[in-house]
Amino acid sequence: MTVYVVRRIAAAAGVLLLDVVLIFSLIHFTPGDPARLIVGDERGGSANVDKVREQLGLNRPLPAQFAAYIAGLVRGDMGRSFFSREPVFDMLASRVPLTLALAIISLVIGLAVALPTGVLAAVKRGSIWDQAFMLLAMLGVSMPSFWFATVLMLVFAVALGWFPVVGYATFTDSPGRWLWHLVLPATAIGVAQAALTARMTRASLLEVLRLDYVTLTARAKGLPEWRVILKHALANAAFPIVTIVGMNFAFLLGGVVIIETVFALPGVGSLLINSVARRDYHVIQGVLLFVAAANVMMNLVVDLSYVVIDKRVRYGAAT
Amino acid sequence: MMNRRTLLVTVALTTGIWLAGAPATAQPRAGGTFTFAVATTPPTLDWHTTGARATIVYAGMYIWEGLVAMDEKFVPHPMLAERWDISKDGLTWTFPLRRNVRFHNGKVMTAEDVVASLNRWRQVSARAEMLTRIEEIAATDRHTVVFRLSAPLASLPFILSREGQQPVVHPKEIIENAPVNKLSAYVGTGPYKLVEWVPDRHIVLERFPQYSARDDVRGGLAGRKVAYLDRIVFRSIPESEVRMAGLRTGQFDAAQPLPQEYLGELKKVPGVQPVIVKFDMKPVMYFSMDGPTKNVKLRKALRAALNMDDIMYAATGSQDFYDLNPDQLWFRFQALWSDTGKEIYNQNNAAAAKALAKEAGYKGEPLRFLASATQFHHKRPAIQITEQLKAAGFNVTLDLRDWPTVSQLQRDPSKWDITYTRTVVTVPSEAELVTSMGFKSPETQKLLDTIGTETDIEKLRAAFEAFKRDVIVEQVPWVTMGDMFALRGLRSHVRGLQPIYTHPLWNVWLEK
Amino acid sequence: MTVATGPAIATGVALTTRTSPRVGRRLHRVFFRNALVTAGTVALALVLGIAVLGPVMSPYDPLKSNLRHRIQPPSMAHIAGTDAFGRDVFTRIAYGARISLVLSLVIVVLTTVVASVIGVTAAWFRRLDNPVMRLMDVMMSVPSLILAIALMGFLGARQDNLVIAIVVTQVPRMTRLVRSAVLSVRANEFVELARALGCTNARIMVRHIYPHCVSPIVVQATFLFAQAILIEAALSFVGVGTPPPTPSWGNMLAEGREHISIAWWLTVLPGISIMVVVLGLNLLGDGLRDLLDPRLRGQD
Repeated sequence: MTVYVVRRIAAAAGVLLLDVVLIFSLIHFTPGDPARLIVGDERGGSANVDKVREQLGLNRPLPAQFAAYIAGLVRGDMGRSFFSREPVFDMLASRVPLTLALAIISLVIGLAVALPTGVLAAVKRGSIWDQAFMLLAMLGVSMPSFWFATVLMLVFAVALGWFPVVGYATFTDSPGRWLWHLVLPATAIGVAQAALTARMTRASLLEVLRLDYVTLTARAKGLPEWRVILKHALANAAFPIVTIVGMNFAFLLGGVVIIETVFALPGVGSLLINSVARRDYHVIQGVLLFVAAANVMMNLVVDLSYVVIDKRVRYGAAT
Repeated sequence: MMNRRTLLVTVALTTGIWLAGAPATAQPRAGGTFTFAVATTPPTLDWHTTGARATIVYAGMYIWEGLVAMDEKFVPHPMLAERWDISKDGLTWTFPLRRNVRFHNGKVMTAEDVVASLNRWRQVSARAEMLTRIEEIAATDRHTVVFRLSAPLASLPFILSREGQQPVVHPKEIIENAPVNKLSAYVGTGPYKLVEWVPDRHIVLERFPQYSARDDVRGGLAGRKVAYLDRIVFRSIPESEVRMAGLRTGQFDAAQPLPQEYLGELKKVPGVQPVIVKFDMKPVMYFSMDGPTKNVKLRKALRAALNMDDIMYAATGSQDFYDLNPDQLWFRFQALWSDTGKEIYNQNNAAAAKALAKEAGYKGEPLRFLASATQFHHKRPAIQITEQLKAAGFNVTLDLRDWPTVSQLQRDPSKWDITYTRTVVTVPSEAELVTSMGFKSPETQKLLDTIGTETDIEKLRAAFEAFKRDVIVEQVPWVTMGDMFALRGLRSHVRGLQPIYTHPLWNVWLEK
Repeated sequence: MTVATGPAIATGVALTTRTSPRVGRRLHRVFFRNALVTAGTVALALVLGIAVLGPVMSPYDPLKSNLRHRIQPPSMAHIAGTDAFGRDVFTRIAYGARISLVLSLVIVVLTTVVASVIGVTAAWFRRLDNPVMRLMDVMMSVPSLILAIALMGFLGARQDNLVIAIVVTQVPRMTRLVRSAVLSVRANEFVELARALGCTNARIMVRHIYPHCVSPIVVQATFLFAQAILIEAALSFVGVGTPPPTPSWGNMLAEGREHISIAWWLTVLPGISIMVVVLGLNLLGDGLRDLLDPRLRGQD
């Protein structure tokens, strides 16, 4: 098993390396010229575009640019933004906390809604509650996030005035204001998340409840029904729920990209969208690399947990 | 000397734009933070290198100043210079500088700073390529800068005050301590200093207490600038619905651009007033000189099919937001405006278009129309234009891409046949844009040569009239759709904001 | 993405055989005893009806603008109002239904086929497993947004490139699911039994393993169908969705959001259409799972 783990980690590193190549070529083969955007709406200034290209090092052949980029990465230098001249690492460092906070708060909102409804729906399977909750959950997954976010804003920020329309306060400045600014965007992401998790909770709880050994043993001990469900059944159902939550992390990041743009939040997602709109190569590469690394890590964790938990799938032993 | 000064004033323009002055009774009040919700973020803050509107109007014009500044009628006025004097042969221009002008770092500005800045500008800006006639820029003493030319250059004040890539003044040491393409700090002489720039989030500016204002009252970016506001915050809010929402709740003091359809809604919101910004842009359709549109008859055929009223209506959604101005170069309030060529503007004549297309030998070859899906002023008119051209029998396919792709593909005329952009012509010499999409003709070159040197307004006008007749009408390098206006939403406690696209926030204050 | 991905569920896979006469009864149970599934089916039928009949019945052209009638609220002449070009929103929703549904269908079929082949291969041939799955990791790490912008830019803003962009990012997810389902079925004794009886690899895979994985795949496919509509909407949001003026529900929603506070009908109606379809598909997906899941057989 140690062998498997080591190999798996080595493979993850290989994946990241391939990612770097893929991301680099994808970006450089996409039409669009950052130099032209820096020069602005000037039609006459093609000479200036060439000047800027030269300054940015974009006139060198692609392999040379790639080599320079890799050499930088090895030194821990992710390059600088063509536009603000800020180091990409600093840009990421200043934006990751917000995105992470947004992801975690929406996860919390999602779980807070999903677990009780999922459990209740499973326990009262087939009842009107079950059907109503699952209908709501499906409504939650079926709304495009940017539309839902705008509606949330129009209702809770404009009509009711409970929350600010846009803006952001750092946690260290004021935790209360920080949370107040994040509630609406996190809800917009969390609802789709909640809907998915509620369905998952219901499904896996139903599976566990059907496995008699869990419920029978517990009931035989004379435990009250709610303890049977919460302690024994839910504990057994937790694994697939956690797996799904983990696998949905990337999905969550996708939601974050759109929601950050709508609420004008300075996170990783809006950084990506804006950098793509500017063809700010180093920044796009940096963000994608970050996302790729997060993804690879997540997959690694999920795969390794399979090995730990499911003895029947013997990865290392087979090879 | 004096007559050149008068000439510049005449070249410049009598305007329909009014100065949004406050009522005579209102007393300006200092203080407060002004939050302006805008759509974009500057690509860079280095004004010498960029013509991007966001750099200029959300940061540059508050932080820096040049020797000369332009008012809202496009008349250049001295800014950091006291005035300018021209030698009899027109080859030596002398700019005495104002005294005791301080940079944000406390240093007093001298001729050395100006010379260093202008020389850097000549290195980094393509605009400076127009200045091949400048032989030398030198400081003759601590407060005088002299330009020595190889040939007369009547448009020098225009060039020095033109907003795109304006040669503004930085402290000498900030330029010298950094590579030529970088600035080590953003320090200028303007009424506001930069506190913070977080791309895609905000630009925060703060009043510069030691700013020395001029005495002459002008409009636009020229003349006396008084900083009443303590702070100015430009927030980047990409979604127009969100800019509108923040304006409603009072989180923003102003929002621009807003979709023109919001006009009716803005009128209904208490505490908010709509402003129609009549000077904004001219949408323009260009033809490739590479494919089928190389044939001038086909270009004329395409032009004949267009119904500008519908195109502008599709773009703005209201007759309040456009002017069917037949002049393919100038806004109505500009001095060189004329209705020459009105017969070819807004023809809406499918029959004529078909006849011309037949004459051109057009047999339904596909025509690719390249426009941006992400610029809202592109997409709707582009869809309308495509529909009209199809109805007139042209095989047009609309190719909508994101803006960076469009801006790059536009450089390669083999990738498109028709494309779309916008212009704001601020200086006569900008007629050079004709050549930028690959269109070249002897007439154009002659015109460009004339503009640089011609000092007589009537001769200049005659040159432009000839250009309109011989180039625009006959050769169709482009088709201008008309003048398009923008919508700005303003909280009603804002006073003194000019209704021009640069919306300077000096001389602006907030009522209690 | 919903069930049977984790091993805890896999333990519940029972060794059963197919008994076709009971399918009819289960169908009956699934479709008529469960009100939700019925509702889902009805909703989908309704949308399909609109997609097929709407364009025929409507007197309006979905593409031709009518500027003097732009942004009008629903009325007798335009039952769902008009958009920023004065085009009839109902007609566009009906045409958009065709576009969106066909787009999603193509995406789902392509994704499922490609992912099934890769996933089964990876799970069966252990030596291929690691390289293939790592390749999937590489593919999965590029957001579909970026891929779509790159492909639409490089190859041209066309719908087929949009399909490619979405499929490429969705295949890895589906592949992971197929692979884990195959792995857990493979561990069952009946596979060993089949092998002992001399079945070939291919036969075991096609006849014995894949059918047992159909349930999670179908559920994931219905989810993906719904998801594809939403992804297309999100891509329209950043300007790389179905190229205008062709209507899709996604780009109608993305265009309508600019006027959300002055013209609710521009976003509400495409939004409801998307919700109805996604809802219907999910309900149907649940029903299908009940129908196909070997574990539920013999429970009636």
